[in-house]
Amino acid sequence: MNTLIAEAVLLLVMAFMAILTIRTQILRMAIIYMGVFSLAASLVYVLYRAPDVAIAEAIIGSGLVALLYLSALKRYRVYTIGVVGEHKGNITDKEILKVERNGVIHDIRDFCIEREREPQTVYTRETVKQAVSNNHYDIVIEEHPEGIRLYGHYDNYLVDELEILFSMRNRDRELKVIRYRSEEEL
Amino acid sequence: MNETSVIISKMTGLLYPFIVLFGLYIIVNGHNYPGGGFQGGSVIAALFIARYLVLPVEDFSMDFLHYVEKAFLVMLLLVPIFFIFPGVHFLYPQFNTAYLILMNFLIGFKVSLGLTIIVFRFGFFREE
Repeated sequence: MNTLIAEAVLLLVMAFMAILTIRTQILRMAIIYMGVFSLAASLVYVLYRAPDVAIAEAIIGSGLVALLYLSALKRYRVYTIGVVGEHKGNITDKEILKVERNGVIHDIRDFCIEREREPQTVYTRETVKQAVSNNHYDIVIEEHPEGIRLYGHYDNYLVDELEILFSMRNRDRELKVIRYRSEEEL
Repeated sequence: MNETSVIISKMTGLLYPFIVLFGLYIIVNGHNYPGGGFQGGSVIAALFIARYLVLPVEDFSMDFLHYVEKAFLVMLLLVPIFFIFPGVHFLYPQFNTAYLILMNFLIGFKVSLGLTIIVFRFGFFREE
């Protein structure tokens, strides 16, 4: 009876930790939750009379894998670029190609790789204000009729360096970097 | 993770002998209790990884570790070839336990070196 209760509790803990792992916004926390998940799994293995597997799971699942993920996280941080278009409706391949041909996004990607960030580009139908306010993007690019506009938060130090990089390149197209402290400023 | 905390370094120093002892215990009792070469080896690998956490410096040759690991692999192949194939385990059954323990030791050291190499390669990885 006691083992049944313990098993139920441990399985619930596992499910709870698994949900926390994918729901949390901070990757570091997700790794810790995953370690706790592994620890609960190893206790479940003990209850299922597989102590051999339990030892391996406890050491590798919550020790080595968590450490590997932590050191991987230290090396590569994802840098999300949001691209806001001017059209309505579904995003077409043609539109994406148009943005890709434009050199700015390539420059930002190269810059991210140089800085050991993993760039990922998201094409969105949101307005700039929405894109900025939901905080999914580190930097937002807008294809404005007057030229390309970059929106970056004031605390984001990578945007400073991007601004300097673009001003030094002296590109012929119009490019404007806009910094904001809060979304109301836009 | 790079700055060394006093608490972590002191505690790791205290835990060092216990980690070694626990790993060896798991390896030696592997043939008739839970555990074995792989589990004990990963415990011993945790020792090197704890050292990496406290002192992330690469002050030894990685190639040397590679060679030692390969040597253990060759021994893992050679020991059964010379023990099982000539039928030693039928002629001298009193050596069977010793054979199991020896094999567990070989697996354990190979696994610990392998995991250490993986983690260190990852930790000291530099992009050219």
